[in-house]
Amino acid sequence: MKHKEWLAKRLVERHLINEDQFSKIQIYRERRIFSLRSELLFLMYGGVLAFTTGAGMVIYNNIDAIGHIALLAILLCLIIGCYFLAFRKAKGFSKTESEFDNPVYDYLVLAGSLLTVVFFSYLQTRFNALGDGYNGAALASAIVAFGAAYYFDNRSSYAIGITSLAAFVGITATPEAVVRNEMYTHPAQTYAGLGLAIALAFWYEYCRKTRFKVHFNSVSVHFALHLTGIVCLKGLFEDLWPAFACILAAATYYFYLKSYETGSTTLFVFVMLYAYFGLNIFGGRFWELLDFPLLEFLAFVSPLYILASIYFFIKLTRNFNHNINDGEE
Amino acid sequence: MTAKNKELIENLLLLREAKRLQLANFLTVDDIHRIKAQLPLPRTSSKLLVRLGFFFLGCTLLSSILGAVSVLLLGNEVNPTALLLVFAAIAITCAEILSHNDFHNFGLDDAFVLSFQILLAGAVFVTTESPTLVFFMLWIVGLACSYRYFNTASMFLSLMGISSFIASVITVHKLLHPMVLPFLMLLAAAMMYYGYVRLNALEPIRLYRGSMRMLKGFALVLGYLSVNYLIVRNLSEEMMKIVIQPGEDIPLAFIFYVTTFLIPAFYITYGVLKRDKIFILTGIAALAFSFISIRVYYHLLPLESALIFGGIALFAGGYYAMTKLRDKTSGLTFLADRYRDDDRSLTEAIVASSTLTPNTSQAGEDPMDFGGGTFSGGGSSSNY
Repeated sequence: MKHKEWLAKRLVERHLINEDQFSKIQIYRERRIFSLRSELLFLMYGGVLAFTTGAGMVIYNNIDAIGHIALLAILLCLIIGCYFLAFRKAKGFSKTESEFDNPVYDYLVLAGSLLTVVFFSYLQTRFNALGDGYNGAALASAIVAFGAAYYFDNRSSYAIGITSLAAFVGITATPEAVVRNEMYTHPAQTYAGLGLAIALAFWYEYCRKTRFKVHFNSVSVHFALHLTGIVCLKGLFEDLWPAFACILAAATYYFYLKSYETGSTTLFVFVMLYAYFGLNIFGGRFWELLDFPLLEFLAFVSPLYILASIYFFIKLTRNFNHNINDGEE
Repeated sequence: MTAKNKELIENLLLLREAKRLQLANFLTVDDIHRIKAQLPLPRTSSKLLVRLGFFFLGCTLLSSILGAVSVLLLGNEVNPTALLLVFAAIAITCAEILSHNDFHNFGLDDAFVLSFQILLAGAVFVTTESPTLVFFMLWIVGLACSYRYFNTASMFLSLMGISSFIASVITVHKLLHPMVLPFLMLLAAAMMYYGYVRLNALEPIRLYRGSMRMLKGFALVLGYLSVNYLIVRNLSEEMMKIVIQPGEDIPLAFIFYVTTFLIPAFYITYGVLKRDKIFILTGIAALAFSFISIRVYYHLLPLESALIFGGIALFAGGYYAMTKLRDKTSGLTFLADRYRDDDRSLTEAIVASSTLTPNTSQAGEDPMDFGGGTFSGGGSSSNY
């Protein structure tokens, strides 16, 4: 007997579901329906990513070898092809969620957006067509990606738009860059990052109020949180750390409220993570100021401190789960 | 001999199944509320991310306690084995306390159970300096912990223990010719799978759902890797000190070329026929790894062309299968999975944004490699 069948049987035996419900489940099981939807979509998604990465590499490797105009023309044709095919099937712009009948078109839009980024980067590398540096190229990619995202209702494109926008202000907002601590190098970019985060938060609030593409909101609010969190944690190691501590405290409060509002556990966990790391770094800096070199004291107090924080986190999590009605306690 | 209340664990499994049935519209939301009210439940973290957070906190707590103990002992002559054993005892005590307070898969309990095994392994290694014994110990203790605490990660440690034990007996202690190792591992994998099939039919084992799935998945992965060409070639170069000249190959190379592709193909076919997702997913991942393995030695195509053509082939294959299955309403189908409410597109959005972004500080693209880990399980993506 399969595990699921056993569970269904137990549910009946313990009178948690009635015979009628049980027989419906059994009848459905006998049809042996097996959805390969996510696997096949995943294959197509992998195909799009592999193809665009390959295209990016061809261009990167042959940047001086083949005719630039020819390459650019091929890219442009591909982009137009992707968008055109999707455009023919699109239901047109809508303020709410709208899906293609066939999910394959979502991936065409994604391919188009990724290739657009390749196209503009290449155009910039070769011809400096959009001013000095890469900011122009990033902005252009962002505009096209946002356009595609809103018209075709494509969240992947929306995320590409935000990363391009971050690149425009000089921040590499990819998980990889975060891990390598290579998000930005120039101190001024700290403020650019904060500015972008605040702008995203405002955009989030605006969309929520006007019910405009509400399902994009989780992307906006996540990017806003991660930008603020990382900028603030970095800032806590700099001279102006008290200011960043205040910003982080305010941001924690704001995003904590947002996690309740959206009911997103991921958001909640990351808010807690940034706040807790921030608090500990803040404590460390404070300790430095006090010039209080009692390491042994610290060794005995820290288990109690961590125990207290665990207690506190359990309370907070229980509250949160209760609020989004997902408690399994 | 289990440390946790079995009834609570069964209740949790039942509630999760009921929630799944509710997603599939067999039950109503009211049913779920009624069932939840009837079932006493353990303290658990239903979301993986929350569990990871508490796991991290548990590890921090344990290391701070161990730090405090070390400070206490500062200045005294301490036997390192004894110290590690004391640490392990502290970890297991914490795990017991949590288990008796009905913590189950909460994150904190996982941290202590795993730390206990690692500290114990450390103690064994410090005393005997024999990796073989450490692996043997991990195997036995892992099994015991997975039984006593219903802990899936301990099952993983145990399975790693037994496979490393076999490998170590052959390579370090030279019990058999190293060429036997791939086939011995394949046999071990087959026995694990057989064990899974036999155990899974037993009523009391039903509660060990996580450990059983781990056993099955591990058997499949081990079975594939043990006869994968890349792995076998690397290991034989290392262990038998074979230097392979251009034009030569490892002994029995032909067999390994065949198995490298035959096993993933078998997994996928079997998975589709038997409606088994673990087989399908392992098969897809294994097939991808097979192509990478062969590419390491035979550059049939430059990487970028391989990516472009591979991408087109994947897309076309997926599209073809989709058109075939699209309108079917029984058997294999492309209809949305009735039992799932996952939000794939957010994960996809995040991965997509990290593959190609204009990088303002460097020239050109920086294509990030997209390892299967990001979007395989679907466990972390279902939080929205």
